[in-house]
Amino acid sequence: MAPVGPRSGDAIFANVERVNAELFTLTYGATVRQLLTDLEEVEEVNKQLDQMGYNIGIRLIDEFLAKSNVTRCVDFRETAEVIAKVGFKMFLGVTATVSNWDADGTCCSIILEDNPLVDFVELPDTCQGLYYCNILSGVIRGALEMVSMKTEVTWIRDVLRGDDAYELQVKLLKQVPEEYPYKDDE
Amino acid sequence: MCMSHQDSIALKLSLIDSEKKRFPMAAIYSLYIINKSGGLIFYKDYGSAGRMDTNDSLRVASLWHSMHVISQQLSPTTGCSGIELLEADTFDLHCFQSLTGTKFFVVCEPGTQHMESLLKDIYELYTDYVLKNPFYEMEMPIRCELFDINLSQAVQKDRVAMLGR
Amino acid sequence: MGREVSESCVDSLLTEIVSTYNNRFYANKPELAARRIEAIGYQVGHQLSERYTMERPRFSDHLEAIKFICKDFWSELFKKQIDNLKTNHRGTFVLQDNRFRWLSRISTDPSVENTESQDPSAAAESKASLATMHVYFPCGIIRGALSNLGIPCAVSADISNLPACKELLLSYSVLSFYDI
Repeated sequence: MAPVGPRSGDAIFANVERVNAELFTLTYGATVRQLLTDLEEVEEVNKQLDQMGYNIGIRLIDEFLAKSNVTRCVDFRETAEVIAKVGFKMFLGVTATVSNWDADGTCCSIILEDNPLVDFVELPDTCQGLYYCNILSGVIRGALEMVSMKTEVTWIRDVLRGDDAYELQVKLLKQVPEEYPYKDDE
Repeated sequence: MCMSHQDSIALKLSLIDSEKKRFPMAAIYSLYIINKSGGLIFYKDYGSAGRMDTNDSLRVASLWHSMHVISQQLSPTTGCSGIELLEADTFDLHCFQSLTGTKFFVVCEPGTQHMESLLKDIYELYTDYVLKNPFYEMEMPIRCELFDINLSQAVQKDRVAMLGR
Repeated sequence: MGREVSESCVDSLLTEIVSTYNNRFYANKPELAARRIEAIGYQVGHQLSERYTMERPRFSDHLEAIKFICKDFWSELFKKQIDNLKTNHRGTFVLQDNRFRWLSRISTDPSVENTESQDPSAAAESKASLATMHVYFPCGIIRGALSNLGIPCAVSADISNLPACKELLLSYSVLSFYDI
């Protein structure tokens, strides 16, 4: 049987069950607001959003792989492209672009111009320091960790903070080799 | 241990032979899912008789996990992702490993076709009905009714598709 | 049709909200976790009803408003209407959804009795209470929407046939504080 090639983000998005984005956006917004009320410290809210994203990412990666037919990426460059073109499209219905590569190909930016998480959002002055979309960085970190890549994901630009786009820096810290059940000396 | 597995497979085969008049096409004997650390998290027997006991299935799973890893290390080609098909006299074993390290494998009648796509379908069911079940804890044994229901439908559909050919 | 996202986004987010509040913040205080989750739903319902009623005339009575929730509002959120609406005409309404999407992935152990777990009844009970945690959010949405339409109320939910699980039946009791 001929191998099935990877599917485009558009094709997958057209096939998955979809829901009203308003519901998602408002639910996320209400969650951030409730966390701010309960935790008081903006720093702590950033941390919790990242943790929630991580927990989501470690499960979502399998759905992504199963439905996209993506095979093992040859390098981190390909991985970043797949996240931006297929991953974002398949779940959020938008595509991102990848740029700002460093010389050794281990650090890049994922840039999002259209971000469904922030429709209708304006940050009040009391939320200085809040990374409103921090759940996204957690999702990416969690998902990549499941395919043996330890990464650090940080926000570089944020429209809610006055920038012109959303920019996430994804830095590959180390590629964990596959785990073998036996050590060599056993 | 390997012998006992083969015995039970052989036993089932003879039973299957007698059924062949009614169901001329191939059959799936059993399905295993192993988590990334080699623990058996799901096992289903489709044989009509000679069901393996829990210990045997656990042994098959851990043996397969180790063999799969060893095959990766022994392979002369770099970037080998491990055994995909093991052909024996009395059974075929098809294995699919996801990039996240979870292994799905079926033991079936020799020469059974389209097992790769069945395993992919099972992987997709796993993502929909196991990982999205809020009560499922990662890496733990799968005990989800919805997964069972959808899995039997997928296996059934596969059989019907083969009968139709 | 407006913008859409994958259903997995909403499913994952809801699962994570419940686990954050129920397992991490208030691990031993389910009633506090429930209140927070309901509050998140309340805000969502409040905002959504604002958006979906923009072009409508005012509702003449409570039944009109409840019908709006059962039909238009539910269709916007779930692409289906509430299956059955009952009322005692004294302020209590029962809304029944025979196939509630947000609970459609919840499935239980088909073989609780023959597992090696020490106390299966306790495990089953904790699962049931976790499933209960998942209905505070939709209850909050209904309460938020109705409050915004001028109907202060209490909303509770009843999940039945979760063990049999093929299709979930969820009924909400809306107790409005006016007509009683």
